[in-house]
Amino acid sequence: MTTPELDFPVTLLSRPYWEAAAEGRLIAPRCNHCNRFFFAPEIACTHCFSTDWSWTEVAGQGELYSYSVIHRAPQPGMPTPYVLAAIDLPEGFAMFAHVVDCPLDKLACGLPVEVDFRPLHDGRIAPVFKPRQTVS
Amino acid sequence: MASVSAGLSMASARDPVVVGVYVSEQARSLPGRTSHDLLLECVKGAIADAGVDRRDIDGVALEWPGPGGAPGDSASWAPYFGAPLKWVESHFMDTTGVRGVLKAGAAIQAGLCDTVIIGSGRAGPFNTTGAAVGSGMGLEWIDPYGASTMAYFALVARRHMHQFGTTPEQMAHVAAVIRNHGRLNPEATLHGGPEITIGDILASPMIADPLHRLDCCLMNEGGHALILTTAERARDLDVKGVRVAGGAMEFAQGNYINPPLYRDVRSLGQAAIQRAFGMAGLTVADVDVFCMYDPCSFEVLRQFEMLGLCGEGEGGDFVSGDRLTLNGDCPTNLDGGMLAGSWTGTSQLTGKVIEGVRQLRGGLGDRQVKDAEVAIVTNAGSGAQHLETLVLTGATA
Repeated sequence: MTTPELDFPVTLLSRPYWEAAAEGRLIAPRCNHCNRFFFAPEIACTHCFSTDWSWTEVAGQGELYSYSVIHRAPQPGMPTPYVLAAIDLPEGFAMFAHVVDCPLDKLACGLPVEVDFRPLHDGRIAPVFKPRQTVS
Repeated sequence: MASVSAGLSMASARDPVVVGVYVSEQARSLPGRTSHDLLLECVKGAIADAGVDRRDIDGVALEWPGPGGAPGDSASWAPYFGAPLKWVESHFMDTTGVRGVLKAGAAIQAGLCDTVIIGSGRAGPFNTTGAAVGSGMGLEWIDPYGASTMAYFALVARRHMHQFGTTPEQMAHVAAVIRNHGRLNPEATLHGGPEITIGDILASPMIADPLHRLDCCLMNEGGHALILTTAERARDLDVKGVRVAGGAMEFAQGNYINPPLYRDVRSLGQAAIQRAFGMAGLTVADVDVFCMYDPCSFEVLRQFEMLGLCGEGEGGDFVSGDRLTLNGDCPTNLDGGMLAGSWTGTSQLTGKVIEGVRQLRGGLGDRQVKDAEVAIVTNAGSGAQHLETLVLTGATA
Protein backbone atom coordinates (compact mmCIF):
# COMPACT_ATOMS: atom_id res chain seq x y z
CA MET A 1 0.00 0.00 0.00
CA THR A 2 1.38 3.35 -0.99
CA THR A 3 1.11 6.50 1.02
CA PRO A 4 1.11 9.41 -1.39
CA GLU A 5 2.82 12.62 -0.41
CA LEU A 6 0.29 15.37 0.28
CA ASP A 7 2.00 18.76 0.08
CA PHE A 8 -0.69 20.64 2.00
CA PRO A 9 -1.67 20.57 5.67
CA VAL A 10 -3.57 17.45 6.67
CA THR A 11 -4.19 15.80 9.99
CA LEU A 12 -4.23 12.15 10.92
CA LEU A 13 -8.02 12.45 10.88
CA SER A 14 -8.33 13.98 7.44
CA ARG A 15 -5.59 12.25 5.44
CA PRO A 16 -7.87 9.47 4.09
CA TYR A 17 -10.36 12.08 2.88
CA TRP A 18 -7.83 13.88 0.70
CA GLU A 19 -6.27 10.64 -0.51
CA ALA A 20 -9.73 9.44 -1.61
CA ALA A 21 -10.40 12.75 -3.33
CA ALA A 22 -7.17 12.36 -5.28
CA GLU A 23 -8.56 9.00 -6.47
CA GLY A 24 -11.94 10.49 -7.40
CA ARG A 25 -13.94 9.25 -4.44
CA LEU A 26 -15.99 11.29 -1.95
CA ILE A 27 -15.90 9.72 1.49
CA ALA A 28 -17.27 10.87 4.82
CA PRO A 29 -17.21 9.59 8.40
CA ARG A 30 -20.12 7.32 9.29
CA CYS A 31 -20.69 6.14 12.83
CA ASN A 32 -20.72 2.38 13.35
CA HIS A 33 -22.79 2.83 16.50
CA CYS A 34 -25.66 5.07 15.38
CA ASN A 35 -25.05 4.67 11.62
CA ARG A 36 -25.26 8.40 11.00
CA PHE A 37 -22.87 10.45 8.90
CA PHE A 38 -21.08 13.48 10.30
CA PHE A 39 -18.72 16.01 8.75
CA ALA A 40 -15.99 17.25 9.05
CA PRO A 41 -14.11 14.27 10.51
CA GLU A 42 -13.95 14.34 14.30
CA ILE A 43 -12.40 12.06 16.86
CA ALA A 44 -15.88 10.91 17.82
CA CYS A 45 -19.32 10.85 16.24
CA THR A 46 -20.92 14.22 16.96
CA HIS A 47 -24.33 12.54 17.24
CA CYS A 48 -23.51 9.88 19.85
CA PHE A 49 -19.87 10.32 20.99
CA SER A 50 -18.87 6.89 19.65
CA THR A 51 -15.26 6.71 18.53
CA ASP A 52 -16.12 3.72 16.37
CA TRP A 53 -16.65 5.19 12.91
CA SER A 54 -15.54 4.41 9.38
CA TRP A 55 -14.86 6.35 6.22
CA THR A 56 -17.75 5.54 3.88
CA GLU A 57 -18.10 6.41 0.21
CA VAL A 58 -21.12 8.57 -0.63
CA ALA A 59 -22.96 8.94 -3.95
CA GLY A 60 -22.01 12.60 -4.41
CA GLN A 61 -25.50 13.58 -5.56
CA GLY A 62 -26.43 16.70 -3.65
CA GLU A 63 -28.23 19.99 -3.61
CA LEU A 64 -26.92 23.53 -3.57
CA TYR A 65 -28.10 24.81 -0.17
CA SER A 66 -26.51 28.24 -0.55
CA TYR A 67 -23.71 29.89 -2.48
CA SER A 68 -21.67 33.03 -2.83
CA VAL A 69 -19.76 34.22 -5.87
CA ILE A 70 -16.50 35.33 -4.32
CA HIS A 71 -14.81 38.29 -6.00
CA ARG A 72 -12.27 38.97 -3.29
CA ALA A 73 -10.30 35.90 -2.26
CA PRO A 74 -9.14 35.83 1.35
CA GLN A 75 -5.66 34.78 0.32
CA PRO A 76 -3.34 35.34 -2.61
CA GLY A 77 -3.16 32.86 -5.46
CA MET A 78 -6.88 32.14 -5.77
CA PRO A 79 -8.27 33.13 -9.17
CA THR A 80 -11.58 35.03 -8.89
CA PRO A 81 -14.46 34.86 -9.23
CA TYR A 82 -15.16 31.42 -7.82
CA VAL A 83 -18.36 29.96 -6.45
CA LEU A 84 -18.23 28.97 -2.80
CA ALA A 85 -21.09 26.72 -1.80
CA ALA A 86 -22.73 24.90 1.06
CA ILE A 87 -23.71 21.53 -0.39
CA ASP A 88 -26.43 19.41 1.19
CA LEU A 89 -25.91 15.68 0.76
CA PRO A 90 -28.82 13.26 1.18
CA GLU A 91 -26.67 11.02 3.37
CA GLY A 92 -27.29 13.62 6.06
CA PHE A 93 -24.49 16.15 6.17
CA ALA A 94 -23.43 19.38 4.52
CA MET A 95 -20.01 20.47 3.31
CA PHE A 96 -18.14 23.38 1.80
CA ALA A 97 -17.22 23.02 -1.87
CA HIS A 98 -16.83 25.01 -5.04
CA VAL A 99 -19.42 24.88 -7.80
CA VAL A 100 -17.90 24.50 -11.27
CA ASP A 101 -19.17 24.30 -14.85
CA CYS A 102 -22.23 26.38 -14.03
CA PRO A 103 -23.07 29.75 -15.63
CA LEU A 104 -23.45 32.28 -12.81
CA ASP A 105 -27.01 33.09 -13.84
CA LYS A 106 -27.99 29.44 -13.40
CA LEU A 107 -26.90 29.36 -9.76
CA ALA A 108 -29.86 28.92 -7.43
CA CYS A 109 -30.51 27.53 -3.98
CA GLY A 110 -31.84 24.01 -4.42
CA LEU A 111 -29.96 23.35 -7.67
CA PRO A 112 -29.30 19.59 -8.05
CA VAL A 113 -25.54 19.03 -8.19
CA GLU A 114 -23.15 16.11 -8.44
CA VAL A 115 -19.59 15.67 -7.31
CA ASP A 116 -16.54 15.97 -9.51
CA PHE A 117 -12.88 16.24 -8.63
CA ARG A 118 -10.69 19.17 -9.67
CA PRO A 119 -7.42 20.72 -8.58
CA LEU A 120 -7.79 23.74 -6.29
CA HIS A 121 -5.48 26.74 -6.28
CA ASP A 122 -3.00 24.94 -4.04
CA GLY A 123 -2.82 21.98 -6.41
CA ARG A 124 -4.76 19.49 -4.32
CA ILE A 125 -7.51 17.47 -5.93
CA ALA A 126 -10.72 18.25 -4.09
CA PRO A 127 -14.40 17.40 -4.35
CA VAL A 128 -16.28 20.10 -6.25
CA PHE A 129 -19.85 20.08 -7.49
CA LYS A 130 -21.39 20.75 -10.90
CA PRO A 131 -25.00 20.88 -12.07
CA ARG A 132 -26.42 17.36 -12.26
CA GLN A 133 -26.38 16.13 -15.84
CA THR A 134 -29.38 13.86 -15.57
CA VAL A 135 -32.22 14.77 -13.31
CA SER A 136 -33.83 11.60 -12.12
CA MET B 1 -39.28 53.55 33.04
CA ALA B 2 -40.53 52.12 36.29
CA SER B 3 -39.24 48.64 35.61
CA VAL B 4 -35.75 49.99 35.02
CA SER B 5 -35.72 51.99 38.23
CA ALA B 6 -36.88 48.92 40.10
CA GLY B 7 -34.04 46.93 38.54
CA LEU B 8 -31.48 49.50 39.60
CA SER B 9 -32.70 49.75 43.16
CA MET B 10 -32.18 46.02 43.47
CA ALA B 11 -28.49 46.30 42.52
CA SER B 12 -26.48 44.50 45.14
CA ALA B 13 -23.06 45.56 46.39
CA ARG B 14 -21.13 43.15 44.15
CA ASP B 15 -23.10 43.65 40.92
CA PRO B 16 -20.64 44.46 38.11
CA VAL B 17 -20.61 48.04 36.88
CA VAL B 18 -18.63 49.52 33.98
CA VAL B 19 -16.72 52.55 35.21
CA GLY B 20 -14.01 53.18 32.63
CA VAL B 21 -13.81 53.02 28.83
CA TYR B 22 -11.28 53.98 26.20
CA VAL B 23 -11.04 53.82 22.41
CA SER B 24 -7.71 54.45 20.68
CA GLU B 25 -7.30 55.96 17.25
CA GLN B 26 -8.61 53.53 14.63
CA ALA B 27 -7.30 53.49 11.07
CA ARG B 28 -6.49 51.11 8.25
CA SER B 29 -2.88 51.50 9.27
CA LEU B 30 -1.26 53.11 12.31
CA PRO B 31 2.34 53.53 11.22
CA GLY B 32 4.89 53.25 13.98
CA ARG B 33 2.43 51.75 16.45
CA THR B 34 2.65 48.25 17.96
CA SER B 35 -0.09 46.17 19.53
CA HIS B 36 1.67 46.50 22.88
CA ASP B 37 1.88 50.28 22.82
CA LEU B 38 -1.72 50.57 21.62
CA LEU B 39 -2.81 48.43 24.55
CA LEU B 40 -0.77 50.52 26.99
CA GLU B 41 -2.55 53.61 25.70
CA CYS B 42 -5.94 51.89 26.13
CA VAL B 43 -5.10 50.70 29.66
CA LYS B 44 -3.96 54.15 30.77
CA GLY B 45 -6.95 55.74 29.06
CA ALA B 46 -9.48 53.46 30.74
CA ILE B 47 -7.84 53.98 34.15
CA ALA B 48 -7.98 57.75 33.69
CA ASP B 49 -11.59 57.60 32.53
CA ALA B 50 -12.62 55.57 35.59
CA GLY B 51 -10.60 57.68 37.98
CA VAL B 52 -9.14 54.62 39.70
CA ASP B 53 -5.56 53.97 40.73
CA ARG B 54 -3.75 51.31 38.69
CA ARG B 55 -3.12 49.45 41.97
CA ASP B 56 -6.89 49.13 42.43
CA ILE B 57 -6.99 46.75 39.49
CA ASP B 58 -6.77 43.19 40.79
CA GLY B 59 -8.16 41.29 37.79
CA VAL B 60 -6.82 41.37 34.24
CA ALA B 61 -8.33 40.15 31.00
CA LEU B 62 -5.91 41.94 28.68
CA GLU B 63 -4.53 40.46 25.53
CA TRP B 64 -0.78 39.95 25.91
CA PRO B 65 0.69 40.66 22.47
CA GLY B 66 4.33 40.34 23.47
CA PRO B 67 7.14 40.71 22.74
CA GLY B 68 8.30 38.33 25.43
CA GLY B 69 6.23 36.17 27.71
CA ALA B 70 4.09 33.19 26.92
CA PRO B 71 1.83 34.00 23.96
CA GLY B 72 -1.41 35.57 25.16
CA ASP B 73 -0.70 35.11 28.87
CA SER B 74 -2.54 37.92 30.66
CA ALA B 75 -0.51 37.34 33.83
CA SER B 76 2.34 39.08 32.02
CA TRP B 77 0.51 42.32 32.80
CA ALA B 78 0.71 41.78 36.57
CA PRO B 79 3.79 43.96 37.20
CA TYR B 80 2.09 46.94 35.55
CA PHE B 81 -0.58 46.95 38.28
CA GLY B 82 1.79 47.09 41.18
CA ALA B 83 0.45 44.15 43.14
CA PRO B 84 -0.20 40.44 42.76
CA LEU B 85 -3.33 39.94 40.67
CA LYS B 86 -6.23 37.92 42.01
CA TRP B 87 -7.70 36.85 38.67
CA VAL B 88 -6.70 36.63 34.99
CA GLU B 89 -8.38 35.57 31.76
CA SER B 90 -6.18 34.94 28.74
CA HIS B 91 -8.04 33.50 25.76
CA PHE B 92 -8.20 35.96 22.86
CA MET B 93 -12.01 35.76 22.76
CA ASP B 94 -12.30 36.30 26.53
CA THR B 95 -10.13 39.40 26.82
CA THR B 96 -12.68 41.45 24.93
CA GLY B 97 -16.29 42.36 24.43
CA VAL B 98 -19.35 40.73 25.89
CA ARG B 99 -17.56 37.50 26.76
CA GLY B 100 -14.88 39.44 28.58
CA VAL B 101 -17.45 41.49 30.49
CA LEU B 102 -19.59 38.48 31.44
CA LYS B 103 -16.66 36.43 32.67
CA ALA B 104 -15.08 39.32 34.55
CA GLY B 105 -18.50 40.24 35.96
CA ALA B 106 -19.01 36.68 37.19
CA ALA B 107 -15.56 36.74 38.82
CA ILE B 108 -16.40 40.01 40.55
CA GLN B 109 -19.77 38.74 41.78
CA ALA B 110 -18.11 35.57 43.04
CA GLY B 111 -15.69 37.66 45.06
CA LEU B 112 -12.58 36.47 43.22
CA CYS B 113 -11.55 40.06 42.51
CA ASP B 114 -13.01 43.56 42.68
CA THR B 115 -11.82 45.61 39.70
CA VAL B 116 -11.06 44.13 36.29
CA ILE B 117 -9.59 45.66 33.16
CA ILE B 118 -10.50 44.12 29.80
CA GLY B 119 -8.84 45.01 26.52
CA SER B 120 -7.22 44.12 23.26
CA GLY B 121 -5.82 45.85 20.23
CA ARG B 122 -3.83 45.37 17.10
CA ALA B 123 -1.26 47.21 15.06
CA GLY B 124 0.50 45.36 12.31
CA PRO B 125 -0.46 41.95 11.01
CA PHE B 126 -3.14 40.12 12.98
CA ASN B 127 -1.25 36.88 12.52
CA THR B 128 1.89 35.69 10.85
CA THR B 129 0.40 35.76 7.35
CA GLY B 130 -1.17 39.19 7.72
CA ALA B 131 -4.50 37.78 6.58
CA ALA B 132 -7.87 38.20 8.26
CA VAL B 133 -9.15 35.82 10.92
CA GLY B 134 -10.60 32.81 9.19
CA SER B 135 -8.36 33.06 6.19
CA GLY B 136 -4.83 32.58 7.41
CA MET B 137 -4.89 30.58 10.61
CA GLY B 138 -4.28 27.24 8.92
CA LEU B 139 -7.92 26.19 8.88
CA GLU B 140 -8.03 22.86 7.15
CA TRP B 141 -11.62 22.91 5.86
CA ILE B 142 -11.72 26.60 5.04
CA ASP B 143 -8.45 27.53 3.38
CA PRO B 144 -8.67 25.21 0.36
CA TYR B 145 -12.05 26.64 -0.65
CA GLY B 146 -11.31 30.27 0.20
CA ALA B 147 -14.20 30.61 2.64
CA SER B 148 -13.61 34.10 3.98
CA THR B 149 -15.41 35.53 6.99
CA MET B 150 -17.61 37.61 4.70
CA ALA B 151 -18.34 34.49 2.66
CA TYR B 152 -19.76 32.93 5.82
CA PHE B 153 -22.22 35.78 6.22
CA ALA B 154 -22.88 35.78 2.48
CA LEU B 155 -23.98 32.12 2.52
CA VAL B 156 -26.51 32.90 5.23
CA ALA B 157 -27.68 36.09 3.52
CA ARG B 158 -28.12 34.30 0.17
CA ARG B 159 -30.33 31.64 1.70
CA HIS B 160 -32.35 34.33 3.52
CA MET B 161 -32.89 36.06 0.17
CA HIS B 162 -33.99 32.75 -1.37
CA GLN B 163 -36.48 31.91 1.37
CA PHE B 164 -37.87 35.34 2.21
CA GLY B 165 -37.20 37.61 -0.75
CA THR B 166 -34.80 39.83 1.17
CA THR B 167 -33.16 42.22 -1.30
CA PRO B 168 -29.68 43.70 -1.76
CA GLU B 169 -31.33 47.13 -1.43
CA GLN B 170 -32.68 46.26 2.04
CA MET B 171 -29.22 45.16 3.17
CA ALA B 172 -27.62 48.23 1.58
CA HIS B 173 -30.07 50.43 3.49
CA VAL B 174 -28.70 49.07 6.78
CA ALA B 175 -25.13 49.71 5.65
CA ALA B 176 -25.96 53.24 4.47
CA VAL B 177 -27.74 54.19 7.71
CA ILE B 178 -24.95 52.92 9.96
CA ARG B 179 -22.16 54.32 7.79
CA ASN B 180 -23.88 57.71 7.85
CA HIS B 181 -24.06 57.55 11.65
CA GLY B 182 -20.27 57.43 11.64
CA ARG B 183 -20.15 60.81 9.90
CA LEU B 184 -21.19 62.40 13.22
CA ASN B 185 -18.76 60.51 15.48
CA PRO B 186 -15.33 62.16 15.72
CA GLU B 187 -13.81 58.77 16.62
CA ALA B 188 -15.27 56.95 13.59
CA THR B 189 -13.06 56.28 10.62
CA LEU B 190 -15.67 57.79 8.29
CA HIS B 191 -16.18 60.90 10.46
CA GLY B 192 -16.94 63.98 8.39
CA GLY B 193 -17.16 62.01 5.16
CA PRO B 194 -19.74 62.45 2.43
CA GLU B 195 -23.28 61.08 2.85
CA ILE B 196 -23.52 57.52 1.60
CA THR B 197 -26.55 56.32 -0.35
CA ILE B 198 -28.01 52.90 -1.04
CA GLY B 199 -26.82 53.45 -4.61
CA ASP B 200 -23.25 53.94 -3.39
CA ILE B 201 -23.39 50.64 -1.51
CA LEU B 202 -24.79 48.74 -4.49
CA ALA B 203 -22.27 50.34 -6.85
CA SER B 204 -19.28 49.30 -4.74
CA PRO B 205 -17.35 46.22 -5.87
CA MET B 206 -18.81 42.85 -4.98
CA ILE B 207 -16.77 41.06 -2.29
CA ALA B 208 -18.81 37.94 -1.52
CA ASP B 209 -22.10 38.06 -3.41
CA PRO B 210 -24.58 39.39 -2.20
CA LEU B 211 -22.27 41.49 0.01
CA HIS B 212 -20.62 44.51 -1.61
CA ARG B 213 -17.52 46.18 -0.23
CA LEU B 214 -19.63 48.83 1.49
CA ASP B 215 -21.89 46.14 3.02
CA CYS B 216 -18.80 45.02 4.95
CA CYS B 217 -17.15 46.56 8.01
CA LEU B 218 -13.81 48.36 7.92
CA MET B 219 -10.71 46.33 8.71
CA ASN B 220 -8.51 48.51 10.88
CA GLU B 221 -5.79 48.78 13.43
CA GLY B 222 -6.69 50.08 16.89
CA GLY B 223 -7.61 49.05 20.41
CA HIS B 224 -10.31 49.25 23.09
CA ALA B 225 -10.37 48.77 26.86
CA LEU B 226 -12.87 48.99 29.70
CA ILE B 227 -12.91 48.65 33.48
CA LEU B 228 -15.51 46.87 35.61
CA THR B 229 -15.87 47.05 39.35
CA THR B 230 -18.44 46.35 42.05
CA ALA B 231 -21.54 48.53 42.40
CA GLU B 232 -20.30 49.38 45.88
CA ARG B 233 -16.95 50.71 44.65
CA ALA B 234 -18.54 52.38 41.64
CA ARG B 235 -20.57 54.61 43.97
CA ASP B 236 -17.34 56.13 45.31
CA LEU B 237 -16.10 57.14 41.86
CA ASP B 238 -16.86 60.44 40.11
CA VAL B 239 -17.76 58.73 36.85
CA LYS B 240 -21.34 57.61 36.17
CA GLY B 241 -21.36 53.83 36.35
CA VAL B 242 -23.26 51.63 33.93
CA ARG B 243 -24.62 48.41 35.34
CA VAL B 244 -24.33 45.04 33.64
CA ALA B 245 -27.92 44.08 34.37
CA GLY B 246 -28.03 40.92 32.31
CA GLY B 247 -26.11 38.89 29.79
CA ALA B 248 -25.83 35.53 28.10
CA MET B 249 -24.01 33.59 25.38
CA GLU B 250 -25.00 31.07 22.73
CA PHE B 251 -22.77 28.87 20.58
CA ALA B 252 -23.95 26.71 17.65
CA GLN B 253 -20.73 25.11 16.44
CA GLY B 254 -17.04 25.78 16.19
CA ASN B 255 -16.02 28.59 13.92
CA TYR B 256 -14.45 27.97 10.54
CA ILE B 257 -14.98 24.25 10.09
CA ASN B 258 -18.30 23.69 8.35
CA PRO B 259 -20.48 25.99 6.28
CA PRO B 260 -23.06 28.06 8.16
CA LEU B 261 -26.51 26.84 7.17
CA TYR B 262 -29.40 29.25 7.50
CA ARG B 263 -31.63 26.47 8.82
CA ASP B 264 -29.26 26.17 11.79
CA VAL B 265 -28.47 29.88 12.17
CA ARG B 266 -31.99 31.33 11.80
CA SER B 267 -32.63 33.24 15.03
CA LEU B 268 -29.46 32.07 16.75
CA GLY B 269 -29.00 34.17 19.86
CA GLN B 270 -32.69 34.35 20.72
CA ALA B 271 -32.36 32.02 23.70
CA ALA B 272 -29.42 34.06 24.98
CA ILE B 273 -31.38 37.29 24.54
CA GLN B 274 -34.27 35.88 26.55
CA ARG B 275 -31.95 34.77 29.34
CA ALA B 276 -30.26 38.17 29.42
CA PHE B 277 -33.52 40.11 29.62
CA GLY B 278 -34.83 37.69 32.21
CA MET B 279 -31.78 38.34 34.36
CA ALA B 280 -32.24 42.08 33.98
CA GLY B 281 -35.98 41.96 34.67
CA LEU B 282 -36.56 43.82 31.42
CA THR B 283 -37.86 43.13 27.91
CA VAL B 284 -36.74 44.19 24.47
CA ALA B 285 -39.49 46.82 24.60
CA ASP B 286 -37.48 48.61 27.31
CA VAL B 287 -34.40 49.06 25.09
CA ASP B 288 -33.47 52.64 24.22
CA VAL B 289 -30.11 52.02 22.54
CA PHE B 290 -29.13 49.19 20.16
CA CYS B 291 -25.41 48.35 19.82
CA MET B 292 -25.63 45.49 17.34
CA TYR B 293 -22.63 43.57 16.01
CA ASP B 294 -22.30 44.74 12.41
CA PRO B 295 -19.57 42.89 10.53
CA CYS B 296 -21.85 43.24 7.53
CA SER B 297 -25.23 44.74 6.72
CA PHE B 298 -27.10 41.44 6.63
CA GLU B 299 -26.20 40.34 10.15
CA VAL B 300 -27.84 43.47 11.60
CA LEU B 301 -31.04 42.67 9.74
CA ARG B 302 -30.95 39.09 11.04
CA GLN B 303 -30.40 40.24 14.60
CA PHE B 304 -33.62 42.27 14.58
CA GLU B 305 -35.45 39.05 13.69
CA MET B 306 -33.54 37.34 16.51
CA LEU B 307 -34.61 40.05 18.95
CA GLY B 308 -38.20 39.17 18.09
CA LEU B 309 -38.99 42.73 17.05
CA CYS B 310 -40.19 41.30 13.74
CA GLY B 311 -40.93 37.85 12.41
CA GLU B 312 -38.47 35.53 10.70
CA GLY B 313 -37.89 36.78 7.19
CA GLU B 314 -39.29 40.24 7.96
CA GLY B 315 -35.98 41.89 8.88
CA GLY B 316 -35.60 43.57 5.50
CA ASP B 317 -38.85 45.46 5.87
CA PHE B 318 -38.30 46.09 9.56
CA VAL B 319 -34.98 47.94 9.18
CA SER B 320 -36.27 50.24 6.42
CA GLY B 321 -36.87 53.99 6.65
CA ASP B 322 -35.63 55.89 9.69
CA ARG B 323 -36.12 53.07 12.19
CA LEU B 324 -32.40 52.57 12.93
CA THR B 325 -31.62 56.28 13.18
CA LEU B 326 -31.69 58.64 16.16
CA ASN B 327 -35.23 59.56 15.07
CA GLY B 328 -36.41 55.96 14.85
CA ASP B 329 -37.67 53.58 17.51
CA CYS B 330 -34.53 51.38 17.29
CA PRO B 331 -31.54 53.76 17.25
CA THR B 332 -28.76 51.44 16.16
CA ASN B 333 -24.99 51.85 16.13
CA LEU B 334 -25.10 55.62 16.40
CA ASP B 335 -21.30 55.62 16.68
CA GLY B 336 -21.10 54.27 13.14
CA GLY B 337 -20.51 50.74 14.38
CA MET B 338 -17.93 48.65 12.61
CA LEU B 339 -19.29 49.64 9.19
CA ALA B 340 -18.07 53.22 9.66
CA GLY B 341 -15.64 52.42 12.44
CA SER B 342 -13.50 49.44 13.03
CA TRP B 343 -12.95 45.72 12.94
CA THR B 344 -9.57 45.07 14.50
CA GLY B 345 -9.65 41.33 15.09
CA THR B 346 -11.10 41.27 18.59
CA SER B 347 -11.23 44.75 20.13
CA GLN B 348 -14.29 45.81 18.13
CA LEU B 349 -16.21 43.43 20.42
CA THR B 350 -15.36 45.75 23.32
CA GLY B 351 -16.20 48.74 21.11
CA LYS B 352 -19.81 47.56 21.00
CA VAL B 353 -19.98 47.59 24.82
CA ILE B 354 -18.30 51.00 25.01
CA GLU B 355 -20.89 52.73 22.81
CA GLY B 356 -23.65 51.29 25.00
CA VAL B 357 -21.90 52.56 28.12
CA ARG B 358 -21.37 56.01 26.64
CA GLN B 359 -25.00 56.35 25.53
CA LEU B 360 -26.16 55.54 29.07
CA ARG B 361 -23.67 57.98 30.56
CA GLY B 362 -25.07 60.66 28.27
CA GLY B 363 -23.52 63.79 26.80
CA LEU B 364 -22.79 62.46 23.31
CA GLY B 365 -24.12 65.60 21.61
CA ASP B 366 -25.74 65.08 18.23
CA ARG B 367 -25.72 61.30 18.47
CA GLN B 368 -27.10 61.08 22.02
CA VAL B 369 -30.29 59.06 22.55
CA LYS B 370 -32.42 61.26 24.81
CA ASP B 371 -32.98 59.90 28.33
CA ALA B 372 -31.31 56.59 27.46
CA GLU B 373 -31.73 54.10 30.32
CA VAL B 374 -31.33 50.66 28.72
CA ALA B 375 -28.89 49.49 26.05
CA ILE B 376 -28.57 46.12 24.39
CA VAL B 377 -25.16 45.04 23.12
CA THR B 378 -24.46 42.09 20.85
CA ASN B 379 -21.30 40.35 19.73
CA ALA B 380 -21.49 37.64 17.10
CA GLY B 381 -19.46 35.94 14.45
CA SER B 382 -18.87 33.53 11.62
CA GLY B 383 -22.15 33.83 9.98
CA ALA B 384 -23.33 33.68 12.83
CA GLN B 385 -22.23 30.61 14.77
CA HIS B 386 -22.28 32.41 18.09
CA LEU B 387 -23.94 35.34 19.77
CA GLU B 388 -23.22 37.04 23.07
CA THR B 389 -25.32 39.80 24.57
CA LEU B 390 -25.39 42.30 27.43
CA VAL B 391 -28.24 44.35 28.84
CA LEU B 392 -26.79 47.56 30.28
CA THR B 393 -28.69 49.98 32.50
CA GLY B 394 -27.79 53.50 33.59
CA ALA B 395 -26.81 54.74 37.03
CA THR B 396 -25.99 52.73 40.11
CA ALA B 397 -27.77 54.88 42.65
